[in-house]
Amino acid sequence: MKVSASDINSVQRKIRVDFEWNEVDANYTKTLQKLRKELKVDGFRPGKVPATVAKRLLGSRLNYDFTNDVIETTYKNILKENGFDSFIDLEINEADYKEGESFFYEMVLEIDPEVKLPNYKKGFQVPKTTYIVDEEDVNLYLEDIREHYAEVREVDEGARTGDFIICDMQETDKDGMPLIGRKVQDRMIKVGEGIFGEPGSAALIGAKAGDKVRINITSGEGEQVHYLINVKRVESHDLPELTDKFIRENFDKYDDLKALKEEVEKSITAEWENRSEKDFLTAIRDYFIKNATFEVPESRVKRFLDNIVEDIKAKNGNKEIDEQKLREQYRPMAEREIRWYLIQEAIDETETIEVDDEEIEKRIVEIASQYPEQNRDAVARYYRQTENRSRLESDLREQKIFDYLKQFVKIEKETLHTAEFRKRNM
Amino acid sequence: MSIKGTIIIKPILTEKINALQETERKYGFKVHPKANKIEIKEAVEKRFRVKVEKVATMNLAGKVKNMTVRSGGRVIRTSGKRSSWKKAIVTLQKGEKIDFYQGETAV
Repeated sequence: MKVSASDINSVQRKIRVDFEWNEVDANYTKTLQKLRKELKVDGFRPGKVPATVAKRLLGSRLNYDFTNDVIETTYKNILKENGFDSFIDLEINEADYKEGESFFYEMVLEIDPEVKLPNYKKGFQVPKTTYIVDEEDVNLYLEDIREHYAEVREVDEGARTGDFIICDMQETDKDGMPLIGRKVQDRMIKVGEGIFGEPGSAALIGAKAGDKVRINITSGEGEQVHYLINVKRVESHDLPELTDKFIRENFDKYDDLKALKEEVEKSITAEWENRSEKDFLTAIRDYFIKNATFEVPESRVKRFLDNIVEDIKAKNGNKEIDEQKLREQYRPMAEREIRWYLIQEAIDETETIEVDDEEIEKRIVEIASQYPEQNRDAVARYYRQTENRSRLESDLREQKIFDYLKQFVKIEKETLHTAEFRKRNM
Repeated sequence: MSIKGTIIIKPILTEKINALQETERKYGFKVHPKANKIEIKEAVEKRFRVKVEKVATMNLAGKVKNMTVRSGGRVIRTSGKRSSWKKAIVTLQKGEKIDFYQGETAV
């Protein structure tokens, strides 16, 4: 037996295996014997058809079974003995034989590429934004609290600015004909705000339950959009004043408005810090995705997209989906995820970043402790299931990799007021 | 009417004939009942492009077969007879061979 390997590209390798006939003769005889037993020819008892006759009659089936038998019984050992046992996909490209002389087959292995990491130990620049929380953030939050405790009153005398209308919204064409699939039911609209803004809301002023109102607005793209609003109910929300007394009556933890404000500010600050950290880690990840050089194996992309398509199919039930379009749409994401996965593997290989059982168990207990007492066992059981546990393990590993990489980051500091952030993302 | 062209009806392919082919170069044929040894020899030589050493023939009487027939609501047991036929065992000269399965791939 002779094994020869050659690289097709950085992620594909061709392996050719050549056999002398005496090495595969036993497989040939075994396959022929097996098929001869099943062969039925007039004039012969089963299994007694002469070999030469059987070979002729069996033709391509004998070829197929014999070739398969040789490949199946040999390829694993060949790959193992020649150090090719870590591959992500294997395809038999070609197989052929000349009876009594030789047999060969050719495999194409898809392998993970050699990831060339950027020289990150020299230090690399990544931006990190510190968000500055101001009074407006706190006020917006307090407004939400007021809204939550609002006294709702049905309005019979017609809607005014600031009132709420509960309605069904039907988008129509310019002649008022309903557009199929463009209806939203039980939508709550604040008159003077929301999707219609001030100009669109003018028609809603004075509207009462049971009224039908037509509204024309100009969309962001400059197009005219027409709606038929079926008013079901008009409400006014009387917002409470946030006084110390109100705070004491409704919140056990705070004695006055000042304490509540301090707590709100603390929690908003923590939220923005989380966002800042998340963006920072994403930027580290993007740096590696952009600067590491290697080819993404097609079979990994295919498998990733297969899973996404399967998921979407399952969620959509029997609805038809354009699979090709979905694959094109998700391909960049698939490539990014696979690149990051292979980069992590490469970092892990050189730096040996490990997650042990104790750490996983500690994290499970930590997650479970965030749930009510009676649910904790069920949550822990869920995370101890093999698949969920391994997802948790890879999350912890990713976290450790980020912690390790942070030491090489030269942070480009930026500060941004949250008001400015909101303006940019309007 | 000439029987030329219809002398060889079909080869006989059985375990026994196969054994004779391999050991004694003997091939079996179902032949026209009126064909003689000389005609059979010529027909085999022409059709399979081989040299024939010897031809042996035998007439085989058709077997009597019993059968059940339904007629007018009645069931009757009756007997019939299969056709009689002629078998030829053709011995080829040394080094000659006939391949009946050439080009055939079934199953």
